[in-house]
Amino acid sequence: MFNSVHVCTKAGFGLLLVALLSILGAPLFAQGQSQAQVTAQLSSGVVKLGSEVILIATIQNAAFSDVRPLPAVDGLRLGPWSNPSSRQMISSINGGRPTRLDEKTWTAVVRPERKGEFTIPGLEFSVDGSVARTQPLALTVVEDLKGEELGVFGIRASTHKVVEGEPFTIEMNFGWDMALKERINWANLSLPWWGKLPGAIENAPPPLAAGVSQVELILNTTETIRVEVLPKTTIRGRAFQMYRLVRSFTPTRSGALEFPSSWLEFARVEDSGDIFSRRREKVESFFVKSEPLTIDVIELPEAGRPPDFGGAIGKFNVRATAAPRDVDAGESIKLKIEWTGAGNLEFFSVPEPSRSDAFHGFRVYGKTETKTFDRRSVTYDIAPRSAEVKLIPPIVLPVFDPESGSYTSVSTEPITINVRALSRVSGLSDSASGFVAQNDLRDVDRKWSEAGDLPRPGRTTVFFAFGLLPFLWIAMARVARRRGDPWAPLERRRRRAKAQLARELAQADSPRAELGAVQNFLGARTAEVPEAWQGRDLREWFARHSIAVEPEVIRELQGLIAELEAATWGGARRPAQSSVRERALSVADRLVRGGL
Amino acid sequence: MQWLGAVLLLFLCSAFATQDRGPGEIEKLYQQGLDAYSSPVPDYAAASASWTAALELTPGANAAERARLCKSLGNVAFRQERPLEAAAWFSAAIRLTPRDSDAWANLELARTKAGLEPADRGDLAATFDRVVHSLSLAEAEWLALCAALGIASLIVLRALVFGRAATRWLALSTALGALAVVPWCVQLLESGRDPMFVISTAGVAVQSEPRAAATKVALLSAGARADRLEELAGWVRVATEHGERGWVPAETLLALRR
Repeated sequence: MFNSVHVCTKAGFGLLLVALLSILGAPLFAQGQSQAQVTAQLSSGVVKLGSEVILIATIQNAAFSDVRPLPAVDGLRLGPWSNPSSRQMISSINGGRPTRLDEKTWTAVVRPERKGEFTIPGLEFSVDGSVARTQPLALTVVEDLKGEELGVFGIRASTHKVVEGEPFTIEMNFGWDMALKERINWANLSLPWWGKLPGAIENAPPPLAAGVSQVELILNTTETIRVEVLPKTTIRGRAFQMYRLVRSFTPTRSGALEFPSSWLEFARVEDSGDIFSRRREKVESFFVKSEPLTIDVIELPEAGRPPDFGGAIGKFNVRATAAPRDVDAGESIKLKIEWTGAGNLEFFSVPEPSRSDAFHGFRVYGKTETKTFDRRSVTYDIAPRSAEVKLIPPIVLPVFDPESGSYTSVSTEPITINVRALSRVSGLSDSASGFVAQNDLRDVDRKWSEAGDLPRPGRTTVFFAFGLLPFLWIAMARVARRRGDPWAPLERRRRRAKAQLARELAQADSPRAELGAVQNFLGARTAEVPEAWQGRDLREWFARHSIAVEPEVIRELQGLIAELEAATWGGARRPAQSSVRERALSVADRLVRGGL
Repeated sequence: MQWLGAVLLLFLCSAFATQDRGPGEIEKLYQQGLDAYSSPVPDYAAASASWTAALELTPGANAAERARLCKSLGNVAFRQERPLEAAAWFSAAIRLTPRDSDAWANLELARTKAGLEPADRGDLAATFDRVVHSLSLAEAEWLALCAALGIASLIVLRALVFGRAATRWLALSTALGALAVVPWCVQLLESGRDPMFVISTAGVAVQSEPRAAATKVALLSAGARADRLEELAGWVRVATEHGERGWVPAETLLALRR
């Protein structure tokens, strides 16, 4: 009898394990650890060609373990290993000493490439610092004769020999007997070279013609792909439902491009289970294989390669248009070149007119390019330099022709243009008489006239003049002050004194601020500092300065100042703010009118 | 006010100091060059030799005459299918007489033929550059001096005639005076430079030492400018616009300062 606790090490189950361990007690399972054990097995010992089996390797009771590379077996494709999954188990037999079991499991897919009896050599693992080996495994691969009879899978290339950079297409036609039509509801296209073809890049697929129907099939069991549905086809005297998939590639290096055998699996899949667990099962499946394919890629020949060869390979047609064709010298012309045909239209470098001597008469500002699967367009922005230019020269594209195996070129036709000289330059344009003026130098002076130079004042003179300006400014400012400049700062302060008094009184929040405002006013009007009016005998001062102010005004001013000083310094009650403001402004007005 | 009058008089006296006029020999050489240039079978080499000799007789005097000789040498170079050299001569002429429309037209034509972009590209920076350089050094000095005198006059006026208007006029004239001084300041800053024009169609490599096998430290393209720092037999040490310094063969450059 087994008492076992299964604990998964993933996610939050680690916490559960810790809790259980503490219940059982560490001393209990500290003892029971068995010796490391390595096993390997196949999910099935017999498999149909085109199908696959799973290789499962398990290591138990190892503190550290890892897989080593899978061996190579002719006729089988092994691996790669998946990431390991691990589990731990603690068990006790009849209440005896508990033992702990650690287990790690790896899986790898085995794909047969031909029928026959195969032996997978013992797999090697690193276990606690040493190498452990499993027993060899036997696998029998049988041909699915029924699948070969009921299905068809053909693959062909547009050519079997290409030069480096020359595009080619691969066309796959596949399908199954229409008698199975009702029974087949699942198909998987197994293309082992898909997405991992070394030495070639896949070109953009051409768009399908209008009205062509498509279906979605499974590709390499993990993704889906849309394939074209072909009309019913008769093969071996029977009607077949056929599909087509076309892909284009451009080889990037010389050598052989290998397309290993591909498989089509078509099957009937049924859903089973209950509402809690549903699964899909293949109740009937068939396999059909395509032949392997090899494309020889040869190097571009060096002999005869033009120095300006930009990698164009194929058979091209070219068309050139220019607009506008009636321009002024220097005006921009859009020269559009369009290459079509069979070849690597997406991959070659277009000619550069700016490097061509033929385009010496043009300024080349730049180009814009567009690429599609069936055409390459370039629009050059060029401008004729002068009215002497009559033609846009041909644009020459060096091309390697794979058919003839030699270099050739595709040229546009020269385009006639009409370039008018700018009237601003020549002043002689007379299009009415057919006369076209040309731009040329302005002639040398035919008479020597001794034109005198403008005499130079000299650098020192200019420096001296500017150096004098600050001294002049200071001197003139002194003169202005002496003459009573109304724009002198003190004069402007005097003029602003009354308005300043009103502003300061409005903002004053204490008798001290009000007293300060009054003193500021008196200081500004007399060109003195405000503090000079602190404790001054007003009557004596006005008498000394002979200012014709009424004595009553002086008395009123003196009274106001005394009140504010008493409130500020003597702790007397503060006079009403509005009263102070009204009285101060009234006194200030009368003082100004009196000549202060 | 008498001292102010005395200062002004001093300015004018120093400004109109007498100059050396070129002798009649220059006219004779110019005529010889003109005859060679204008003959039914033009002898451009002889014209170039005469005008170059005439140019060497006018160092540091009479900018208008030197500009005329530079223009003529530019025409000769253009006719001899050396558009880069022609562009250099026309540029030299424009440095002397900045508003000479003939020199500008010929310069643009030569630059177009040499495959260079226009000297006046028409953008804001090029327009500002052309405006700032549109005065000769003498004109720029006179303009600056007039600005100083204008400001001085308004300072005096403001002291004599009070009022807000005088102050405003003074502020305005100070602003205008500052603008008027810009061309002179620019020319003052550039006065220490000795620009050279690359006339080699393939451009020229700037080398670390004046020998053919020296390391190449920079490349000057055709039509580029560089400042001459010093000179050895057959070699000129230059500073490029990007600050690199090195030696280039003398025959690949043409001096713009004439």
